[in-house]
Amino acid sequence: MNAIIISGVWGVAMMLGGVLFRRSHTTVFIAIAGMILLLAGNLMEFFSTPLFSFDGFEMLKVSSFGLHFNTIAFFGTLLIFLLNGKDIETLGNHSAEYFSLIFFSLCGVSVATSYNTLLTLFLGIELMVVPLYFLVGSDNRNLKGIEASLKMFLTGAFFSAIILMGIALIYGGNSLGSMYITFISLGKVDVNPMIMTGMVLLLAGMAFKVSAAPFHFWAPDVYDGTPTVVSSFLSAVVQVGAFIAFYKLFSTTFGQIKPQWQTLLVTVAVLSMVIGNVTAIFQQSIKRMLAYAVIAQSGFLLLGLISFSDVGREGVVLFIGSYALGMIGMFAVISRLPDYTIDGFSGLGKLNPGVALFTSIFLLSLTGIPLTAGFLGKLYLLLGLAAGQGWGWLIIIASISMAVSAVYYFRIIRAMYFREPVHPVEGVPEMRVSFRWLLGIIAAILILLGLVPDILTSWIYY
Amino acid sequence: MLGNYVTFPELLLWIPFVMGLIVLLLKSAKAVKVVSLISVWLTLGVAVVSLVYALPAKEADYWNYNNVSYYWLRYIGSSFTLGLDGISHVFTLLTSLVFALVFMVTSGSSYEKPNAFYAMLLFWQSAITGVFVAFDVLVFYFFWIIVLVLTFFLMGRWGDSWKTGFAFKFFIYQFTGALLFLAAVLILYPYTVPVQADSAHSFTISAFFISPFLAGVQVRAFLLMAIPFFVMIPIFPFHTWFPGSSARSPYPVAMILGSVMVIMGLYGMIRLAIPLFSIAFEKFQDVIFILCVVSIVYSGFIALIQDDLKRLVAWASVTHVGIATLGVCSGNAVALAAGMFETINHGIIIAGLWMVMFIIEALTGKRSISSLGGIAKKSPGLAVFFFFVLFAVVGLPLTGSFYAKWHILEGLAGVSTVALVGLILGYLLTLLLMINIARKVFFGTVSEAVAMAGSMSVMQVIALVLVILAILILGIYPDAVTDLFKASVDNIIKRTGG
Repeated sequence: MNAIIISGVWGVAMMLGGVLFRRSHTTVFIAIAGMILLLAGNLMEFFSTPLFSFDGFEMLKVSSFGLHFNTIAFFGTLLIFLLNGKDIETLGNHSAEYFSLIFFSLCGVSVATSYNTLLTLFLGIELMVVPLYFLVGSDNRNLKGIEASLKMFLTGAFFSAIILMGIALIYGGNSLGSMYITFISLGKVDVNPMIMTGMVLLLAGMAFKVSAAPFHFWAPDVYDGTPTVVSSFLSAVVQVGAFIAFYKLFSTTFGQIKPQWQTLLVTVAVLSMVIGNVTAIFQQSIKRMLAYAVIAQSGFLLLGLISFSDVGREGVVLFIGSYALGMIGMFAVISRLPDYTIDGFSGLGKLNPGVALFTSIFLLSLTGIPLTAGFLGKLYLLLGLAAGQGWGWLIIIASISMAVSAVYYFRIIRAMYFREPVHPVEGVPEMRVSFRWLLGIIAAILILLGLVPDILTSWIYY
Repeated sequence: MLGNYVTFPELLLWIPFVMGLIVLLLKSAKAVKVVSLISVWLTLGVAVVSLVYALPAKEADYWNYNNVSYYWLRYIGSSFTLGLDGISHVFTLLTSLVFALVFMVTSGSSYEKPNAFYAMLLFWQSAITGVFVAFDVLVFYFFWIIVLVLTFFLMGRWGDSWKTGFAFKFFIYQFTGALLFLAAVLILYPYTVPVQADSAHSFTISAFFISPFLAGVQVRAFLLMAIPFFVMIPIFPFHTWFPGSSARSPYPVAMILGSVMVIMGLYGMIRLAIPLFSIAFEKFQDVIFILCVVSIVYSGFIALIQDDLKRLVAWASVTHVGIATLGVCSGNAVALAAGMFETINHGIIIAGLWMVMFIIEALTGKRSISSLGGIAKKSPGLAVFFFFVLFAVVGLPLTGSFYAKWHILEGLAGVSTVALVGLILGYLLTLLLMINIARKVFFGTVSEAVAMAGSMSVMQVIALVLVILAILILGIYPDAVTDLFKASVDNIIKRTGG
């Protein structure tokens, strides 16, 4: 509950206070202070000191699992603020408002990780995504950004309606007439067509929010069109929040009727991995390529939901941690490059050896090379499947999709180290020392988690 | 003392790694070379000393000195287990020997960013050693991938023009294979028995050996697991990455790639694929034979028409390693032991062949056969060395290869006619190839490039003498190595019931 209150209040405060400190650099410091406060508040609640207690008919119910993910999301946002704070300030003319929108979105993430009824689920998801519609189109001189915003809004609104329809059908269809996810009794009565329809609609809607195929069409345009820092936030925080909501819903409410949705989810996962990875190979723009990578990673993450085991849960945690860190690092580097094609990376190994090394570590982690957290995340997800037996073919598909992903991730490494710089040295923007140190810290965390995963995973049993 | 605190596998793993870190920090090219030479010699020394502790007299302490296990991912049943048994002893000794030879021979040439290059090579040595001493399947996979990533960087960053394409192809090929290996391991995982209290299943190799795998599971896992090993060896049709990658790599990388790295594939077959999946192995044995024979004959003929010496040696080594693979996959005790012995021979002989080619290019600046000729007149010393290597490749008596090739033939005689025919063709083709090189490169009229050539450095002479010594020792006293293999051969034969 701490996180929801603090992020909401801080968002409102920044929006109102924006009048006072317009056009000054204090905004980013206030935002960082708020982020630290939010992180601290969330950790306090995790170690059982909630500052606010609020009953609300138990429509929200915090769990250590959800709080754990809040920590990851908040830490990720803090990193984005530290790395790209200036970029957020200069998105448009309203520096404070952009930060406040991000805080509202984080409020949505905290609701989405601790919902207890279908209504609060919907509320959380909308709260999480609606600020993004503005952020995506915030650069109003960029037509691609506005197009992306409109596209995201129209399709997003459509799928929100689908989610709402699904919720209504489930509410009407279950014998207790309950909205509480733990009380919706399925399986005890015969699963009626209304529930089934509702579940399929919810599955489609949630798959859209995590940009899993075949509901992924909005993602590439949005990632490509928006300012880089927004892509970073979208991939590392919002999509993760949506996935946790997805995971929670299907492991609690629909956990009782697993056989009914498993085939559907397997299809979605396989399609995402195949379409995402194969299409990513053919992209010119790196941001677009990473968008397809996000689609593929969503598919991989769904394996954790299919396997439904403790190892799978640990895998989800590790995977999300490594993936969020890797994406934040990648987008931070991209935001400093002269252009968004592969040429931007050419010769980075010569121009800036440190940054090239860290970028390689992010890419190795995203590919799933041992010694990095990305490998263990993927390994645990696959192990969860393996323990179930009979998922051999899915393991093989997932493995091959990992191999395919190496093609486009390693192309960047190849450009950095084996090619001469394309842009003149003057064209390469300066990277501050603090920026490079932060990238180094992210890389170090990735390697540390790759060696000692327990420091992240053990908390889900807390 | 040693056994209580540090063990041999750890030393073999950490010395190159730590020395690599030191090398990375050095500035001058000379210091880099000196330190890396010290490192490879130190590692070789440790590998030799570790053999002393394998003698029967030290049997009581053997376990303490050669096995170590650390907790790592204990809840999924994986631990950082390292060990040295008979096979590992030989393979690690070979690795450290070849690295020492390669570093000596190439000490004269200069590379861009020498500190990074030599540090990478030393890390590479550490990772390859890691593959040979890992006693946990996940740790094995871990080192295997690190070897691939390092090779990718070494090939791409320091290779010739066209380099990027080949390094990339190499990595994608091998990484796909390695992931299939991982898939095989994961398919087997739920059937393994636990060896520790913390987890329901286990990744240690010993657990895999005591777990019962049903025939269906075996077939699936064997098909998945054999692919990465065959890609690495390389066996037709998975060989296409090899000649290009070898030819476009810098010499030190190409030498190690052809001699040590490819036998990682054979090691995988010996350590995991064959003994674990005896039922599946018997089922697919004929297919493997045919692939090996095709590989031997096909690459032998392609090697005959090559003009570039680097490509020629690369194709010749595909032929040669095919012979060793036939022996290893024979399922017959005599041929199996000989095949494993031939694997070791392959490492030394091919390293020797690459060394001769390197010296030719270093002296004359040319590496196409058409622009060479008459080296025997200009540099008789090099010619003598080459002929020793030639004898070994062809398998004349007194070389280790003779013993191995003879026994592979003897063992396969009763097993498969196809394999036998392929084997004999392979022997003939290698003979033809070697004589071809001798005739065109070492005899004939002295070409312009050769006339301008300088002379070998002392380091190179020492390295070549060491190669010849190794070849002769293996030829005169093969039991030194085959005794170390014995336990493993018996184990495989017992499991396959042949």
